[in-house]
Amino acid sequence: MEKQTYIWPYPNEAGQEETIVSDVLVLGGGLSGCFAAIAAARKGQSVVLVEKGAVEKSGSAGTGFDHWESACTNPCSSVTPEEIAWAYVREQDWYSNGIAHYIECREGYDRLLDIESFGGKIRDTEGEFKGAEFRDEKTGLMFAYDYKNKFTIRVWGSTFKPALAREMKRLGIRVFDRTEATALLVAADTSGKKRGAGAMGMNVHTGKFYVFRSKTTVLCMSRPARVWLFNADLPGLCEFRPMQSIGSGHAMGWRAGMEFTMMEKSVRAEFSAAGRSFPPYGAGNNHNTWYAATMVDARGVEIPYVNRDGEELKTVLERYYPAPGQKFFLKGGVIDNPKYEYRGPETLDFEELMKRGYQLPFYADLSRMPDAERRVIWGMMVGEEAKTKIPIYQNYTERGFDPQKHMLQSYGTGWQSANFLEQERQFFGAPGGLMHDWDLQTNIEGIYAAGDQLYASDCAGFACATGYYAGRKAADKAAMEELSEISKEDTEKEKKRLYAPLFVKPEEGVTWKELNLAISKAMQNYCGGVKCEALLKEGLDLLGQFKEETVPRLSASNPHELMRVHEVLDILQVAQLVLHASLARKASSKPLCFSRSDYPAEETENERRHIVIRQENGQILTREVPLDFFGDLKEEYEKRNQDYIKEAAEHGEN
Amino acid sequence: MEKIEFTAQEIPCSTRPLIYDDSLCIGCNRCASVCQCDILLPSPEKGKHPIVMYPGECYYCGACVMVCPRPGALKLSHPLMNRAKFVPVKKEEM
Repeated sequence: MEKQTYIWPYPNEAGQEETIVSDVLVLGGGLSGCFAAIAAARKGQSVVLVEKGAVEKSGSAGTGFDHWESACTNPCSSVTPEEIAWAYVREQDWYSNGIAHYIECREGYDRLLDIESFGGKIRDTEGEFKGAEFRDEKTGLMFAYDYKNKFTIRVWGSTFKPALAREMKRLGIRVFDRTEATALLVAADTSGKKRGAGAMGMNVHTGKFYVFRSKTTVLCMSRPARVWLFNADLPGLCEFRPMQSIGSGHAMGWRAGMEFTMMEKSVRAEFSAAGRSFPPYGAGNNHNTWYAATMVDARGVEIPYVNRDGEELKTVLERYYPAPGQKFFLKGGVIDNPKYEYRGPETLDFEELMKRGYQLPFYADLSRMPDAERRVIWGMMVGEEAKTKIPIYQNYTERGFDPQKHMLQSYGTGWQSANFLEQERQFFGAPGGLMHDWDLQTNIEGIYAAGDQLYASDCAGFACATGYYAGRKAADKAAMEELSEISKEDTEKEKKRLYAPLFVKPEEGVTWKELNLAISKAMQNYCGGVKCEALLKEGLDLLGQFKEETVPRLSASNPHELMRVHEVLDILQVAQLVLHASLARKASSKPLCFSRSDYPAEETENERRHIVIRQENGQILTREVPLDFFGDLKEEYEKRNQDYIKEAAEHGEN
Repeated sequence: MEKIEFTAQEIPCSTRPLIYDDSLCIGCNRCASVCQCDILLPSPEKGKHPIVMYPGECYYCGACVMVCPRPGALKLSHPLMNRAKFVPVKKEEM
């Protein structure tokens, strides 16, 4: 049967151009972007936000998230921002974003209160969990992980994006939904120093070209994805984060000459529901959203939890308390196998379980847990976390799953319910990103970054806190600056680049999927688990060939396909960046999950450092930065944020 | 710039992530308006449900179902391979 051809339902505006002017431009409308825009608008600046999806439900937390980490300043917390921020730095062997973590620890709870004031739900207002061990009866706040220290808050994240979208509207922020940012505008002053002048982009429904001129810009787009993992049949499922979140901000930053660090870091994949894992949070496990679910083996024998000293815990509640002599423990998005100092209760190691005769498969059995603990995992956390409300909670319930009667299977040998190969890699567990200073400003003056664009980024609290912080710094700067001149040559060149695939006939062209498949296969072959100079250079050579020979043949029939083509061009750019960063680190490094066969010796603690990388006219430039470059977190923060501290004190929140 | 006519053809894949119930759907296109992967295109027929033009690009987030004003008009369904198994709880045998 002949396939039906549809007429495009949106107006055709390809070739049309509009210039939009603002004080502050925010690229990306996830959590960090919304907060950057709100911060700048509160400072009285005119703000434009550009989002490829639709802000109401877009970004990694578009349909929800369930727990907010490092809320150290909430009224029930027994830890200080300094304790937790430094713990993250030490836990990650200093390959950690101390600045961003400290901002999260110090200001994160203020952002939660903001969200509540916009109509989001952050506490148990209905008394659904009254009397539960994790609920503070006075405030209604509910805690996860460490019930003694109470710095991780369980939240109803599905209410957050709609609330943020409403608040942006109320503040008069001009939101451009369905508009992808494709390139930064950079001007140079008389001395040749670069500064941000805005960005360019395209409406992905109409094809209209936009020039966004601004005094300052905040990059709030995603971390890269689909670099090693791709599935042409189910591309929407091949990564953890949303399909369109593929690191375009990284790609345009690299093209503009921005500095990156830790881009050589990638981990063996953990999530790809098109491949070797299951829908996130949809298989039996006892981590993150499901912490600390009771796990049983095939016979129904309970798997013991042990504290950091290997002592078996007798009750469910003990799983939520530090060990004797331990002040607090760390759990969460980027904490995989913590050091002794920060290690919390955990089920016995898989190998030990096998020795003791435990049998696969394992299951999560919530029926054995106290009522409130069961209901908070299945019904609140599963329901509010990421994409769980409809896909997991509602779907499984309709399939007949009852947590009091059924146990949910765990796959493979660990909590991840996944079995990936070493060369199937992903940017996970605090990956690389943009280098920045204490203002979250990049090396290009007037361009700031937040959330997943920062190196060693983390979760929702990190995104919101750094977004707000970058937004207010960008606003302060914009208040003192004029618009930079932009060059017509730059905008014409970008327009030509953007529209080129529309002029390649489909029957003679190459699809975006074919190129994405080729890139991911190349990266598995040339930048897999073990790397060496010759291999990495071959990879660069092959990607260079793709750029020369295949890119000009890419074809698109409408703006949607054009968007996908440009995503893959950005993926190609990021893949090249990863190869360059991998070549630049001539050592192996466990904290970076980075292994070089030609430099097998593990770097010593003294040798550890950032290798900061950028390109200038195609030349690769690197410099070394000590891992402790951010200095004393409290002191450096307070030097630069007296205005915020004073304002927060006046509101009685700090 | 030379004018290019935009066209779209449904790109099939091995799964059906979204299933509409024609008797309930009012064709309001709320689902299409929030889908961040933009896999839905408004139907050329007014009042009909959107066309699932790019089903393989579905991220299975359920935003479309969350905003649907007619419960049941739209169902999200996991690929068969991703339907995790659950079994009745077992009493400890040891």
